Amino acid sequence: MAEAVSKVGIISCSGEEIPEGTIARQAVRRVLEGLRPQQTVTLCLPLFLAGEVGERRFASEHPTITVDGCDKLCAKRGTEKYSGKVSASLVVTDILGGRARGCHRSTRDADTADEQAVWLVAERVAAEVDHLSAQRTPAETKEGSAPSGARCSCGGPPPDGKLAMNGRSVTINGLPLIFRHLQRKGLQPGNGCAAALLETVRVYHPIEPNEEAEYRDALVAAYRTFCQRGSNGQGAGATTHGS
Amino acid sequence: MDNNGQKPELLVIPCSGIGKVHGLISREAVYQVTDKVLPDQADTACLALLVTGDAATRQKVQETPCVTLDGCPKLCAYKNVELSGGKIAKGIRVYDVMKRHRGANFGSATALSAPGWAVVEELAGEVAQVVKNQATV
Amino acid sequence: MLIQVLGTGCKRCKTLHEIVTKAVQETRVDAQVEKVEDIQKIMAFEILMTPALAINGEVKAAGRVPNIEEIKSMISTAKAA
Repeated sequence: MAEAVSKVGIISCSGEEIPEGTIARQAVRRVLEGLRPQQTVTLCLPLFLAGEVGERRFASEHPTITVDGCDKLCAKRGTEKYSGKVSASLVVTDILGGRARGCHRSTRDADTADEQAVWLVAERVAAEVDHLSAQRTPAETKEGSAPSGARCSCGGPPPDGKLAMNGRSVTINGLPLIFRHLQRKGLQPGNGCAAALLETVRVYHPIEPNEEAEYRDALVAAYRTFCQRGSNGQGAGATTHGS
Repeated sequence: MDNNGQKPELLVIPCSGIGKVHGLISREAVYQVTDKVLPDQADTACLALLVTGDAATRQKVQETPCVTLDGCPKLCAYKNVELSGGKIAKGIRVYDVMKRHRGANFGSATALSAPGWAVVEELAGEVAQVVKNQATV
Repeated sequence: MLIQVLGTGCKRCKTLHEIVTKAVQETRVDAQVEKVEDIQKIMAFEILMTPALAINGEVKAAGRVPNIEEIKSMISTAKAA
């Protein structure tokens, strides 16, 4: 089925040498799986060379935001060299100013400074996604405009913001982020987690009193699945190009 | 340059894999090597700089033996180093290592769990072995 | 009553602030409306997404922009508590 509107593409530099590369990567992950899961798609930058022709169509199939750690602008330059013009270029060092000082390359060493940095960059990226999404008009959509050819072999699972409830599907923005947050706080899956799940989710998604029981059951089941899904390395993943 | 400003004996380069936990494991294994296991001997290089054809980075991979770590069969790190004329001492396929721990919960592409970190340590050990093998040649 | 709108200054944050201000005017509640844009202060609320709305320090909504009726209902509930 053709997508009505193409998703906004985001490409991170993921630069390994400096903490800003890790911040770029983590911020993009946050946007893809939590802040704007339905509107975004990504691709690994090196696939422009290591992948197939289809992967190089990424920037022509999606309005693309590049997120670079530093002013070498590898994601922007690499995308424009191999794929197409980018719609927006964000640079971590520009967004954070001096805040990146004290951040770390490894997630094992991540502390409050790293969390704040990732948050700030992610919010900036999300705002840019909204800006680009708003610019898409019906005239720019076309039948059969679903991206073709490019396949990322990681092909991560679809964004898990959807909750299955009695034969219908409800989208809860940021559900993977919410689940991960609760998991980190030690919430164990099972019937005992129902109250905490409901109380947390209703902050992010309005729940009518007469729907509470339905949401409660669905959230308990979804949280159990989320906690189990980590066994194949997927968890609540972002959409990668072609999946 | 490595942490002490000396030319490294080895460059360890992960893929950028942003979609799955395998990519994060590759990345963290590199940091385990460069920051903890072989801080005086190993360094890393931005794969993205190879994608853009950065001259200094190309020279680095041409002059220094490289170990690449790839999270998926696309082999982005291996191929990009090879395309840049780099000397690949070993190409590690992280997904093959993870198969030895089938059923474990490694975490996600954003955060690793304890078994995920255990694989990181195992991979770091494999990389360290490359340096040892080079020393005995 | 203290009503805080949390956000780093994006368009949705501004929209939420406008709706909250209007809701306060229409309910004629005695409330101070404050915009919180400092990241450290925002993170202290332990929210995952912005914009967010807190009443008397308790987060009532986050990652979305509730409509004016929902905000008025939140204000009434907080006033009655």
